[in-house]
Amino acid sequence: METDLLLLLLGGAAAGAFGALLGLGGGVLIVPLLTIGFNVPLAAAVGTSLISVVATSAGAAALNVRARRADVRLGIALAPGTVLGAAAGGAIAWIFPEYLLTGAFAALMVYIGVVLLRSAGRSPGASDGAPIDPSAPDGPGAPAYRAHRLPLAMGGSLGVGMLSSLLGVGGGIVQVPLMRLVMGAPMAVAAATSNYLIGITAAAGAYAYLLRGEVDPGVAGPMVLSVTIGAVSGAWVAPRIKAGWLTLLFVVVIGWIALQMALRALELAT
Amino acid sequence: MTNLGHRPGADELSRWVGGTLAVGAVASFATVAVGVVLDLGSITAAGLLLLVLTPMGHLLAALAAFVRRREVWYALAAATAVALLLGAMALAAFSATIGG
Repeated sequence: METDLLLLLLGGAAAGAFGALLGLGGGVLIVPLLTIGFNVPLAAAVGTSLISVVATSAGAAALNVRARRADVRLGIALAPGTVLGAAAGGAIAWIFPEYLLTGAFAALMVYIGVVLLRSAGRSPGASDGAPIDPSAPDGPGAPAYRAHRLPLAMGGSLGVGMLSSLLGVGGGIVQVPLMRLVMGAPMAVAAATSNYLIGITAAAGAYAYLLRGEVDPGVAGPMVLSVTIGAVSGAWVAPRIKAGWLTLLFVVVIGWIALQMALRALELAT
Repeated sequence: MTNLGHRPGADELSRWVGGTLAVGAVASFATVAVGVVLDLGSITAAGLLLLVLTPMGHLLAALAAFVRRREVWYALAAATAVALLLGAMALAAFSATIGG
């Protein structure tokens, strides 16, 4: 049991650190870590992951909001859509068979891998998943911008919220391109605001798993602590290392995870 | 929402929302840590609950700041998000009842 706890803490810290290094949040790694590594049922893993996303978002967003890297107004404008989607997703998650959600998670992993590979060829400041660089040309010292196509972005946020609560991810991998490409927000602002927003989204989804008793405090507690410590460490290390090789390593890791999740989905379906 | 966009410079909105986030993050982390170290599931669960209630807290802080600044559209958006979060809790409770 103590060995399990130690492995859980190490795995959570690694997920948090990787997430912070690549600007993804830890959710995409926590669900496979718990389901594949610790045989935790998918619903419990998703609930635990959502709570961990709230934790990492709160820590980073506290800094980003006070430093005005995150645009609170933009986040608030999109919050009703993501919360509505997350609440609906959390409420109906129990309807979907586990193999379907596991298969959907594998598909999400493939999508993330493609996005990361495409961004690896661009400059760090232009990467949709890159950590925030306050000194970037479009950072907090940049001139004011105007956001566009709010209704379209609000509709997209509804889908991001549902994806988040069904699969236990923050949704930043979709939310950041939505803010950047649809609304025209600068990259640094989009990444910081997405980080602020995913905490609200994940909380809305987490209520359902918590109230259904699917989250074990004995697993979620250590996971929240280790993911937060890992995320803080990752954020500290991020500006000091080159992200290129790390992105490629991460793509290999999530490719393996996608394969494992797909195999698990097939196993559950048959 | 005609004035949606990033405007550099510190204001009370950033201070209030950022401050609520920081207090929520630190308080919930400390509570969960105490629960895990002492192996007390109820304390850990209380910390997790405090954590998932933190977004509600900073949305209320944003709502207060928007009302004070008379930014009606943002106040309405924040109030809607708070109402939806409360609705999410109610929906979750209902879902827990019918879904087992």
